[in-house]
Amino acid sequence: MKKGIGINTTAVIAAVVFMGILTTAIASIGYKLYYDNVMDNYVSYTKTVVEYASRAAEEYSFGDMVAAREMPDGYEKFRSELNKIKDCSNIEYLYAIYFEDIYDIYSLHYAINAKTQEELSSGRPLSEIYSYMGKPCEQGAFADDTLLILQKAVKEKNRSTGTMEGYSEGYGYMLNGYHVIYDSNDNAVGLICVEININKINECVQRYITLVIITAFVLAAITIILYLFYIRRHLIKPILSIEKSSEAFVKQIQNNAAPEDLIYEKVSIRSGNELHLLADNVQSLADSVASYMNNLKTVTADRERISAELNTATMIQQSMLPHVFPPFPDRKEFDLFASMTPAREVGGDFYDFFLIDDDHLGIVMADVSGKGVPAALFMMVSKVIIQSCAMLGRSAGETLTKTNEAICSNNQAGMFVTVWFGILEISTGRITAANGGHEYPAIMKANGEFELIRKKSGLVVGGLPEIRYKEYEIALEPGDKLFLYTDGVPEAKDKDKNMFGLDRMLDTLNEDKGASPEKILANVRNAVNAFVKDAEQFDDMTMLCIEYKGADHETD
Amino acid sequence: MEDLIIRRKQENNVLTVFAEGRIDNQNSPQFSEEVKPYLNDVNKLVFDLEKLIYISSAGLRVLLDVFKCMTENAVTDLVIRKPTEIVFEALEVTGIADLYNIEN
Repeated sequence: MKKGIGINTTAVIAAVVFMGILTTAIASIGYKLYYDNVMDNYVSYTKTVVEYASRAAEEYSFGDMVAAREMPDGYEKFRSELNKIKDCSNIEYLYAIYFEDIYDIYSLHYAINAKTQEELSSGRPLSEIYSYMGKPCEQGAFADDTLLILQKAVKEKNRSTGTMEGYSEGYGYMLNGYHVIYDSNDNAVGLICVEININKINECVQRYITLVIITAFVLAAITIILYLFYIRRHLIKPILSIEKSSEAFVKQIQNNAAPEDLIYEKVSIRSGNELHLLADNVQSLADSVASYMNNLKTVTADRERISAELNTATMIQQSMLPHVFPPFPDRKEFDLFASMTPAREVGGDFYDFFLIDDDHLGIVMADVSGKGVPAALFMMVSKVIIQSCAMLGRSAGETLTKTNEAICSNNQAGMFVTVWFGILEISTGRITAANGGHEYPAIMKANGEFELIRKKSGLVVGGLPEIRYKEYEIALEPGDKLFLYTDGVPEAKDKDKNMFGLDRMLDTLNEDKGASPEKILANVRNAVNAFVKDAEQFDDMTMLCIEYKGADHETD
Repeated sequence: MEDLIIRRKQENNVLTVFAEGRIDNQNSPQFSEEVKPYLNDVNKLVFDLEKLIYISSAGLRVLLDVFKCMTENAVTDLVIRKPTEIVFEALEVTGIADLYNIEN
């Protein structure tokens, strides 16, 4: 058998896929939670710084400086306050801005900015480092979206601190905190802004994700290895060994190993789980197959022996019946032909004919109740007894009476045989007949049709003791024919169990009534075969036909 | 469809056996089993064969067996009622018709 993907590979693939999905899910959820958490912290930190700075702005009346676009004495003091704030916090930018024209987002100007000690000690002149009141913002420093939000906050005199995330090409991802500045007349004049570089946050999150993924991957790998180790030991190995044993067993069968040599190699599975049961069941299945095949071999051998014996029995039975035709080539007074076709190897029907003396021919047509071997055994006995009685020179009736006595005296099985027995006086064509429960014979007078001789018959032979059989006579003229048969002919059935019947039999006989006995038998057999078609032959079928040609033929 | 249906009716000591269908070599043991164990204390036996369309030699053997059995028990009132033509022919040819009283 062609193998698909092995159970081992499937297990690995399944485990990897499963762990992959699990890792992805854990990483996604972790990322989301972690990012939100970090972001929240940054937002509140940003807000704190912005609010601190805006409180300083109030203290220094920075709003009024912005409103007047002036840089009085307090201006630089305020800047150093902001510088301090920036020094102690981890922010990127701290500055104040205003819109020259509140309706034009591009009219943004710096009011002030703050730098740390570190930035100031870079050696560059302060005029380059610091932004002073009225310095226009560089184009592209703020995205339009950001500008619109800032503009809106000023317009609406937003009192609370706002935050937003923004991206600009120059600065990357930034978290922006802003608070509106008011002058002493409570006019919104500009904004204090703080920017925190959230590129750092992303880096941090990325580090976190990498860590999670690596950890998950390592754990997954360990789990997969443990899992595979476990299922290999407790699941796959047992299954593979069951498979190996079964395959070896099947191969033995395919190679036609002798049934007694069939061995199913025992699979030992320690665990008491279902696999153990499976192994046991496969084992007992294999054992059953082996013992079944053993039995089959014995039975087949028996059957072959019986069949051989039956073949011999068939031969013996066939050879017991006179089967060379013409049987008496030098007797021209009659022509005779007979046949027996058993339904099984051996049958219970028989015909017989024998010369009792020069002028008397005994003719027997008989049918033993039942079929097969028992009928055949009984038939052999019956045949011998009838012939023995007849050869003693008894009449037809006496022969059957004696035969009945002999059979009844030893008939434990309750078998019986129907017998028509006639003695033809060859010189005259006169037949003395007795019927022990057998089918009526059909006679054809020289120029007439075949018809049944409906003479009352006696009881079947072997039925009851002390029966006396009566006789009747049939006179045969030259050209007359007598047709004897067993019930296998009229009772031959087609597949719908319709019977051939006596009428069809007589019709067949009369269709070619001038034919020779041999041809007549062939005609009937063909008609029966055509009638039953493919139905199995159900009963033995035996026929005999004798044509009387007259004593004159003796000298021919 | 069953090939053979056997029913029995016992009134006092009269046993009536109804056989319907066909008795052949395969089911004649069934016929025998449905009749022979019930013959004790029967002093009249009737086979009603009105619906029996065929009887094989094995079936006739059962009738013969039953006859022997009843004769041993000194019961002679044995009847075959309304046999169909084919069955009657078989009974007559084999001489069993003479052992039973045939009622038409």
